[in-house]
Amino acid sequence: MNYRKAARREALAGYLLIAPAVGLFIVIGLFTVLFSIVLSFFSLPQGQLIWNAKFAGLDNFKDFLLGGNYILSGFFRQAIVNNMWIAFAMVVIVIPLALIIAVLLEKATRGVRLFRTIYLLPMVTSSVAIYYVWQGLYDPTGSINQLLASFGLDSWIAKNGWIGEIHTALPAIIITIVWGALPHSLILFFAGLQAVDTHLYEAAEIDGANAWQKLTRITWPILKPITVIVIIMNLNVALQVFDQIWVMTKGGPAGATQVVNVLVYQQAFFQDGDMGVANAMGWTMFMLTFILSLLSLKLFGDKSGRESH
Amino acid sequence: MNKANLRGKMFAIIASLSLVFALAACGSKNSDNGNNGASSPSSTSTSSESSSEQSESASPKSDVKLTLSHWKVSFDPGFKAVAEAFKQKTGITVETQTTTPDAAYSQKLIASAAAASLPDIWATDASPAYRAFDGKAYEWSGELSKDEAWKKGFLPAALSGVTVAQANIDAWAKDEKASDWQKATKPGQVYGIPIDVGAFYMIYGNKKIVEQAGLEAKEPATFEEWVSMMKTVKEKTGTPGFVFAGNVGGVYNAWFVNLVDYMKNGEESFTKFMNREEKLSDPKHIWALKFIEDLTKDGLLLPGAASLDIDPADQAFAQGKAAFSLGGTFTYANLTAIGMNADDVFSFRVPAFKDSVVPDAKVSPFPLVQLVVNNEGPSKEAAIEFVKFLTSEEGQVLYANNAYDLPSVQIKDGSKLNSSIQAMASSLSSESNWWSENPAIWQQVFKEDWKVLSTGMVKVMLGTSTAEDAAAEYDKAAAAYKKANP
Repeated sequence: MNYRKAARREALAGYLLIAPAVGLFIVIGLFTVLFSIVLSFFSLPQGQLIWNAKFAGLDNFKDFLLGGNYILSGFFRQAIVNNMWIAFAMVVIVIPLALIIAVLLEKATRGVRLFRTIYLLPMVTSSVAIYYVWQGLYDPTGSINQLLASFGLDSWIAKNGWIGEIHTALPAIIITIVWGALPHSLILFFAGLQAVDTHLYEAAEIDGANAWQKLTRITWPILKPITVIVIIMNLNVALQVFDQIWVMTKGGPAGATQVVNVLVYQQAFFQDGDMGVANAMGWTMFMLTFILSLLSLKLFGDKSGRESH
Repeated sequence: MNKANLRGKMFAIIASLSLVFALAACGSKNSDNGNNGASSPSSTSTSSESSSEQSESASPKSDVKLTLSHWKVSFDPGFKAVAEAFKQKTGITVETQTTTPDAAYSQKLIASAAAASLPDIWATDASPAYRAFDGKAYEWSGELSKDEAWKKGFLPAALSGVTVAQANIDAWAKDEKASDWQKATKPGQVYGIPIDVGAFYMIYGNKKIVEQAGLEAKEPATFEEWVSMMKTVKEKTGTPGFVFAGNVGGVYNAWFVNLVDYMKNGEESFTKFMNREEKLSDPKHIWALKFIEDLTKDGLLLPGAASLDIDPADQAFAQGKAAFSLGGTFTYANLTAIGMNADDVFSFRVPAFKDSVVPDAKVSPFPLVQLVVNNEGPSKEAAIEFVKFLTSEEGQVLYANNAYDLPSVQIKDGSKLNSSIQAMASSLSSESNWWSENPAIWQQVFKEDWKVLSTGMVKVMLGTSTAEDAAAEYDKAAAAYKKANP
């Protein structure tokens, strides 16, 4: 009986200790998320107070998804295509590149500290400051154009700057995003490689396994679940990208680097925008990220889970 | 579980709760300090400085402390100078809070209004009943009638630009985005007092570059003469003729295209164009994109201008990267603030084409920023007193000279203003005309479909679209807009 009383008291103490955190989460986290979902079904023009919100049903979604608003749906289409290009680049460039560098680092015997410092640089520097540096590099009179000019490659120069031309702006932004996202993926792969028991390789060698067999039978099964995490992480970065674009191009030129989150920001905070439409766009993007993450888990997750056990 | 353990846990709980209350107490103490009982909005990303920490022993004493929120960093010295003089007179302290960028400031105001924690005074863009938050703003018409001398001091366009007119009420009645409160306003109501005036449609020229090209640094007689000046500058000095903020859609549309089109085609055709009854691809209006196309083909635009925002475009001009720049009266303060010598600049209204219908259109100044007083604030009377002082001749001289801004009231002794403000003020007409009386027509350029024109304009700037194709794209968007907003 005493034991049960003490256990109850202990539980109560636990609940009391976590109560402030749970309270904060309910007020700040859960409430805002639920409020945002509700708002996506209302029309709340920019500048109006919340009690002026009018129920709009699915109109907000129809406006940008089904062409209800000709102008907005055009901008949304362009933004989603750009997000998809960034997502594609994040998967096909970042993952192989991070894996290759991780393998090389794992095998390196000299200069490992220096390389670690270099690859961690994007993580420890102020992102906004770095975007301004990239902006300077891409400027019409920036280092990239000057370098090309010094090699006599005048025809390669982007006259309006690398983020100032419609055809080069998105690839230039993708390079910046890839550069910023690489360290996170690299760290995960590097940690995965270091977790491989070296005895497994020795045993495989004794059994006569070649390098390909060691890679596919030992390394890959261990790295596969990590790859799923890396894919989901990179998809998330690609579909939620905002700060690089806002600092460097604001979606320009002529919408060449427009992405959904920039459009959401403009809809929410600029004149003629609508907070309801902004929230609807945000939740559409969340659903897309969620579906793509589920697909990634389906493709790699379950099997790898069973294999790795 | 032993008693010592339990006692330890209880101690931890009490300590945690004490810490939470202590932190909460610190927070509330700060907010009280800032606002004398009136809750102030969150100070995240704001800069807050007291205007005058030490009051003179001779000045009256008062415990009242007002908070003035705004988003104009360059105006802050002006507000502080007035606040200091106000404190000398009344003992009332006015603390300014600057929040940037403007989108963050707007959102902060909206959130404060919803949470009933607005500051005593807030600045907004000047427009009738704008940011009045469904009646949370003080209505000034009674005070203006009571104090005729104060009312008469304002430039006519300044006050009319913030007064609710029947045209506003008619427009709100049709506008789905307008609130019921806006629809119920009455003609003649005033919810914000203008603190400055200004105008767009200014071309700034770099005297040195223009003279280096062998030209006289003076206002060109026509649009064609201005383009010819740019060509000569490019030919003789290699410097591109023109720069403007290509990445900010509204700049070209609202600071240039609408007035030039009005001058070129006259009231009737311009009104039809603004009402989407005449197309951009019409030979009368396509000049707006043809001009950009010609500048691009002749290499007269600064490379990279399509990606520039307003400040970087001003900086490029100030650094001598282009001979001419597009701006407003407010650009002058920015150019001098970033180090350009005032003597190296000459300015003129955007020029009219040779055969324009209204070539000598006068640009009337309109109010740019208004101050709104919190109708529910604890120090409402003091806030009204401060706004009246700021918009008195004495307050406006102090404000204008410290903020490099044009005053909204008539300054009888112009010599009290610094020379550059005097020069700008004299270039504007204070008389009423068609342009100043019909803002609802020329402000159509702020509507959604004009974003498509901005996108097309950038494509033409970058040579990836022709003027005709971009015009056709805009015409489609304009037709869709008109269908959705008949």
